[in-house]
Amino acid sequence: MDWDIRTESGSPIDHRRLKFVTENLAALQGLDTVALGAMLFFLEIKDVWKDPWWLTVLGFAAGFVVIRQMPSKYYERHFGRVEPKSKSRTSRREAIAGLVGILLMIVAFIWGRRIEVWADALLMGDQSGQIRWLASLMWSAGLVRNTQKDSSADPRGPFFYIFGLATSIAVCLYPKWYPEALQSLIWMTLNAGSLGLTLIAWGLRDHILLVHLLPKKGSNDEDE
Amino acid sequence: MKTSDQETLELPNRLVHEPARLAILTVLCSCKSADFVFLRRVTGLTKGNLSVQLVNLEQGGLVVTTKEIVERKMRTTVKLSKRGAAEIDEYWQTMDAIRSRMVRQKDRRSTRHPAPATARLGFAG
Repeated sequence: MDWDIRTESGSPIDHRRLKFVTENLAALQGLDTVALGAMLFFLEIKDVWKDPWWLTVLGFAAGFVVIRQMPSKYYERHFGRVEPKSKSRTSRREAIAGLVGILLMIVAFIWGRRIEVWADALLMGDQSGQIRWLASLMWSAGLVRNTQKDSSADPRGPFFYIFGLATSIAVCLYPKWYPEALQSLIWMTLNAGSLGLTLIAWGLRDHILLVHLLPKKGSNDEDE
Repeated sequence: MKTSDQETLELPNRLVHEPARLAILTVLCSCKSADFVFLRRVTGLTKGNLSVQLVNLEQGGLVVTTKEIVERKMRTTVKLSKRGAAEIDEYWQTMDAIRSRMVRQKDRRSTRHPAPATARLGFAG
């Protein structure tokens, strides 16, 4: 069904928005990704910050939020529930892409450091393997995945991923021009926590998009 | 209803055509079922208005409503009935037919009464 034509024909209802939000409600619930990213970030930067106790506490607090599924309960209470349609051919393709993504993540977690050392040596001649390219790879994968999706209800999506990719590459390449950055606390934090920061950015963006796409409740309205 | 060129013009179903109900049906077309909170949030309707529209749709046999108590709270889940799915399909076909007829009539009118040369060239007045 071509919904775009109906929208452009003068119908007062934004069908694209309704269809997009309904089909992507679960995917747009980004606060659990934010909590997961925060947990990774706090645990990743522990070494950079000389292992202070409060970073461990913050990491465990974020992990507690993920395990207790607090974001899911928040979304159900404020945005409601949708039972998605049964798997279509497209969603099966998406499931395969997701499985490949999970396999890549497992490979990245097991051999990630070795791949990064190799990539660093190849791209920058950095034998210490200090620079982390994993976030740039994730932003690239995110950009590719976003371009395959229908972006009519989310036209700014590709720009977000391009900006994120450019930023993560800039962080990785910064020491090439300023080698003293390798000793800078800010750069070391950004570099070490890049994976967690990536997940935080993705989750926040999904959440903001969801809030933007759903109108605010009337003031005289109460939850059911 | 007959148009000037004697073609039968089918009118859309009024139960579906009303904007609030059309929004609800559009949402339900895109999922298996949705609960009351989501429908209210996504359509932007007030609680009272949404309840009234859902009652109308249920009485018309277009949706099926289920109520259950979850964690001491009432949860209302709504899904499209078979008849509802057929009606909304038919509605879009009717709207397509109306739109293409409008385009044809506009084309015919413009060939019968072409715009003056000055207007076609973009001169005002």
